Amino acid sequence: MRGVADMEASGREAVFGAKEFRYELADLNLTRDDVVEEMGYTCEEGNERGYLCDLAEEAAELAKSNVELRGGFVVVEPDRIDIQKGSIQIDDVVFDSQPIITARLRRAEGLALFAATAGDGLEKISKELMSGDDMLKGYVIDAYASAAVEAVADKLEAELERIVEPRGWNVTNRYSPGYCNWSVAEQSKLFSFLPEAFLGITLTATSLMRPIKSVSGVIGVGENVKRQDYQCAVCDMRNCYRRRVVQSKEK
Amino acid sequence: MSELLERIAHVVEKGKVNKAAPFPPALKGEDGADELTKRAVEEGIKPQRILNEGLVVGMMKIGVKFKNNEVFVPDVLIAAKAMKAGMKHIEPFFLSKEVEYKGKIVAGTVAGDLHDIGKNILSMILQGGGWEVVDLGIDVSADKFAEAVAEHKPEAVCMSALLTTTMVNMEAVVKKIRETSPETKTIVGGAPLTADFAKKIEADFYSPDPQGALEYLNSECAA
Repeated sequence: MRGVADMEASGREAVFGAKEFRYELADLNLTRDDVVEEMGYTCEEGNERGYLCDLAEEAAELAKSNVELRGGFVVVEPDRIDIQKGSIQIDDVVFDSQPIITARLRRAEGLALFAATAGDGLEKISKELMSGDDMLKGYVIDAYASAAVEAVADKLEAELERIVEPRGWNVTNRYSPGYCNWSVAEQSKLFSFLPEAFLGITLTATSLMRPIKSVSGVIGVGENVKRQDYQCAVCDMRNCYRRRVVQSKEK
Repeated sequence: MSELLERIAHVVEKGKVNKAAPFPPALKGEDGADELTKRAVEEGIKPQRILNEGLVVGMMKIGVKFKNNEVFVPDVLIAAKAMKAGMKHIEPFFLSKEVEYKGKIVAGTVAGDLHDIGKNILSMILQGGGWEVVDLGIDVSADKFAEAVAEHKPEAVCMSALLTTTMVNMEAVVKKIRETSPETKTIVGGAPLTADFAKKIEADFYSPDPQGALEYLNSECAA
């Protein structure tokens, strides 16, 4: 890891003030298998799609000089978690986080509002390839960048666990706007708790994060919360790409 | 169908671009879509047959597998690459009208949305299905869609969105197309969409996958 920075938060009271972490690619332990699995396949020996594994290795080489891996969070105390309404209130902000997510955070004593990014380097290379004559390579690079930012979020979860562990607290899964019916428009509320231009991420008018290879969300912390198995079973987004991948692994 | 056309369909489905291509390993050293399509043209098989009974059949097979979760995006992309390698031998016949598309489609990702992979896959599957596609790219406003419809006179407009915040912009596009070109069909798709949403905004058709859009076009809009 390159470094940790304690930052001035948004002026709101926090259980733990905003922290930013910077990572090297090697910190993520991201393998070509992880990337190829994201695309629904594997790198097992004799696999007829071995070319995907080769492309994933090429993407890893490109990533060495084209990613900027940053993540961070602030932990705040929720004022009210209303399962009936599917909402969470923190200070004067009410998140319309919907019943699925709200129920899983109901016992949380603190909420870690997080963001992570892989930067825009790979995104630019991918777009150029995809608009040219090598869509497959562009797609693999895009998948690599997605896997990288999810790996940064995994690291953040581990950092959070380490920080709350002395209090005897556990962590929940991470939940993001845009999933489980939580509107992506709520991302602007989430970023209001983070320092200005946190990690260099900006939001468009439609709440799309730039760089695109960024994630944000909430993780519950507390004595009586727990991490659960992957959540496709509780989510009703039938055409989500993750559901397709998860189902393919189950077959 | 001739054996050669069956072979073309097979190599497109498997993503064998040309003889030099290293994948798929099972077809290593064998002719790909490039060589086989060239040979079919040289043997005097009508280009329209080569397209409809060879290249399109291969893409159709991969499209169905994708719809059924039997394959994923990379296989569609590599099949499309093989299709493209074959198409370069057919393209001259579009100018001489010996080959005709089934019709024309305008496609784009709606305003505010910068995601293009889903839209690109849709475009490739429609092209692979014998449709001419005018790809407007990403972040396309209702006015831009309408201008493209006026210019290209397509049978249908296909719109994609990946966010709940941008899918609402489809309504303005559907409305605009209805006002300016009521005979043009509107097709919507993208991860957050549902059939109910499509009905609410009065789109003509919703498909959760590209193959569904292609099947709709073939049944409702093909010349």
